[in-house]
Amino acid sequence: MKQSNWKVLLNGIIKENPVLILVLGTCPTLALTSLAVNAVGMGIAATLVLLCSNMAISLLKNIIPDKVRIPCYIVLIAGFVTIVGFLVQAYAPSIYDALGLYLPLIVVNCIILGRAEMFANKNTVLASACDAIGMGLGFTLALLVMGSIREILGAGTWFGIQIIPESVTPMSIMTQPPGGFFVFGVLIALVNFILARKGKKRKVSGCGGCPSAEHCAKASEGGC
Amino acid sequence: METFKSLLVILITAILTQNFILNKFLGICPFLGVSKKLDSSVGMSVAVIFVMLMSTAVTWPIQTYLLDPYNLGYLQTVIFILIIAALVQLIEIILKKYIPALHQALGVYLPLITTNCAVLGVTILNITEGYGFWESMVNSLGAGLGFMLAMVLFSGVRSRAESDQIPSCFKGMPITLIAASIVAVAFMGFNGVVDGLFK
Amino acid sequence: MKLTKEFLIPVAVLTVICLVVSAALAFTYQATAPVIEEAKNAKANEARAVVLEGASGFEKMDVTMPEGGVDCYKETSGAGYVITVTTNGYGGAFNMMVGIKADGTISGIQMMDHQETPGFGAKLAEESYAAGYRGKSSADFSDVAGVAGATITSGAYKKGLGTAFEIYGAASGNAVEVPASGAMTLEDAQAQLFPDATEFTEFAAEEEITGYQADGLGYVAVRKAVGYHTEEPMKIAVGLDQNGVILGVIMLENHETQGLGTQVGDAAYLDQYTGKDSVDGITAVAGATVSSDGVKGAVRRILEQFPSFPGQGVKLDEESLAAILPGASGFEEAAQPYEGADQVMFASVRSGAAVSVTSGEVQAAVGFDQSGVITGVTLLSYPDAAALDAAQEYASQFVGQTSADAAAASEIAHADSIRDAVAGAVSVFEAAKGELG
Repeated sequence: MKQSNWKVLLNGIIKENPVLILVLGTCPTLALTSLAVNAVGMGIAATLVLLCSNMAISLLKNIIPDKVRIPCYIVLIAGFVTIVGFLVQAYAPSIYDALGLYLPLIVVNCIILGRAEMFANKNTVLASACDAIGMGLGFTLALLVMGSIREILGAGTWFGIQIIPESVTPMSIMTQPPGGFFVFGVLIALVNFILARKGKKRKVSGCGGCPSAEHCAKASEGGC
Repeated sequence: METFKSLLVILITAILTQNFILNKFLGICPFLGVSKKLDSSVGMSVAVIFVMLMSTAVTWPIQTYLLDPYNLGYLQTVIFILIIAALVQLIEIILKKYIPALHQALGVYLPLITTNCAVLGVTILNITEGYGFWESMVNSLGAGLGFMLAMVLFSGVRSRAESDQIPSCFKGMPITLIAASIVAVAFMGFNGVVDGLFK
Repeated sequence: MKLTKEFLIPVAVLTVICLVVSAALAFTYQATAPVIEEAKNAKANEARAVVLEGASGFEKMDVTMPEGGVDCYKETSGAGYVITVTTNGYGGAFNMMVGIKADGTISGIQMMDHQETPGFGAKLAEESYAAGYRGKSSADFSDVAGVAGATITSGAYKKGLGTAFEIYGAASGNAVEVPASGAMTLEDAQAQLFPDATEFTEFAAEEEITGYQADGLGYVAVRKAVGYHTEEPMKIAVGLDQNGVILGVIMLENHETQGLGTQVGDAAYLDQYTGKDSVDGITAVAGATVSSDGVKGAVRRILEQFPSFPGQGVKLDEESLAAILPGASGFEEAAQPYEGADQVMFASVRSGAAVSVTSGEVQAAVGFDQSGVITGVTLLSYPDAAALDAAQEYASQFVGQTSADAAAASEIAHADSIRDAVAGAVSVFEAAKGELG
């Protein structure tokens, strides 16, 4: 049991990385990666919420009737987001300021609702916890990589420490919206490249993780 | 005249200089997903505008008359998202029953909107920016219109990209994102437009 | 029963979950609210202490805030004040915390909650930039350079400092010097334009122009120039010689954007006007088009009104002089300008005076003999060519009078202007007859 839970955890980091493979949770990925420290802050906050919500939903999976399952999940997730928000505001106010609007938006982060649908309501609490940690770590790592690239190229610093000498003018567009799209695109292309090299076909896009999958006409087409 | 001017500024800011998709990164999922074709882009956008307006019309009074006076601000996230989810369900049911033609066209997009960052985003933004009721409605309208503008423009870009030769590892999501970054650069040109508008 | 199962239970579960969650939220909120509040206060006070050296404690002050003011805290041991202002930068509004010592100089500046571009506008948030302002007072902080490539942020920063000083002035009761914007007083401007003139006689002109006759050497025309900041227009003084050629343009008041629009007050821009009699070929200041156009428009209006300035208009010539002072000759210009008159000339042979006065759209030349009896009136300038003869006839009724009081009523256009001109000429004669000798 322990072994397969471990596998579950690793799954979220690499094989089914929510950002780079499943392409879920794109909004915070683009918005919060202009600085590496913000990226990590967002990653940790989302991981906390994911952990709590996965565990709670797994606990309650037999109690929540199917008909109202989505609204229930939403209420639970929103509740955890608010609590995590308070904690961040109280104990890490500078991160709170940096996250801004995107902290409450964790509620609609597809990753969280997606994992609830796909995993938590079908598995044990422990397994769900491992899944949450794995996915959360994967999310945080992906964000960290993007954030680092954008910060180093765009401001010459990493976590505020000057990396590129001051005399070299940084590509400040990297820290702006276009830079976000660009780096994200290149990263996914890189992932595709690596997958192709390994002979693995890219897993079909994360429609399974998307809570609207049953309504979406595109799901049958294999994705948005 | 002053109110009209300030409303116009809010509208244009939301559409151009603070475009929800290209500046604020809200609503990326449908942007990347649904913008392949023009008609689906338009359909999605109309649905989004609709839901944004209705959500604002409901969430703003609730915040102002229920949450703030009773110091229940911490319930904002929970209540707002519930309202949006409920509204979307309601709209779907009403459309299905009374305007089946519209339901055919938009219905498939509606569930996607519940988890759309843009809708929750705009309702929260209206509160944090301290807008009044009409300012909030105009802001939401602008957000939706900006969303539509970005979607429609982008669908044009994507349909051109389809027919081009692209290296295999860039096919699909990556080239879409890079195209989006270029469109975002174009929109950066709008910075400063609002300031100079009424001088 | 089925209905219950399918409907009531789900709703019940949902409701219970909602209630539980709400309770949990309420609990967490109560628990964390004091911590959050304290963290906010501590952070704010810490920021204040950074900005004002030697600070031990702060108390909030109740001062009416001008636009852009957020709050003002007085340091308890008298070290000074910490004022928070908000200003609009490139990426939106940001706050600045400004520490002003008791002597009115800047102790420190902190830029907060900003969304300026990293590497450009964000550079102004760095300590190394703020350090450049240490010790500056309200009069000289605008001299500190901005950051290249961050014009809007730099302008916003300076504006914020200006607001902070304004609040400092209100809170401390100390006078706050307005930064010298290269502007000059009217007296200095007049002296610079006409160093040889001793007296400047004021006159009013159209188009919101205030004019000063410079001893017969020329004119100084003062007018507002509406630039970028429409609520606070600039004020310029234009020096003109008798022929309408610009001797110089001087900026009296300039509230345009520091470092940008204020450049239109610099010699580099204003020197273009010297020697010209029109505004053709004036190049605007790069990046300050609206301010430049404001100045140009004002100068153009002044030039347009020049012909109506006293002493301008149609000059008395032989023909008109012969008409109003028949038989007189040896005409010479009066030694000094007379208020209200365009031109005054005295005849040495057959002594008399010719006075031309503009009233409304009419310019009339009136001749007087030594005792002040009107010897002739001729219209030098009359707007309606078709009615000129009738108007001239109307004007002739004053011949033989000593005043314009007995003017007959008339339906001729501008009849009252003609009458006023004659009346004006009479008063000028009263003032000038001493020169008749």
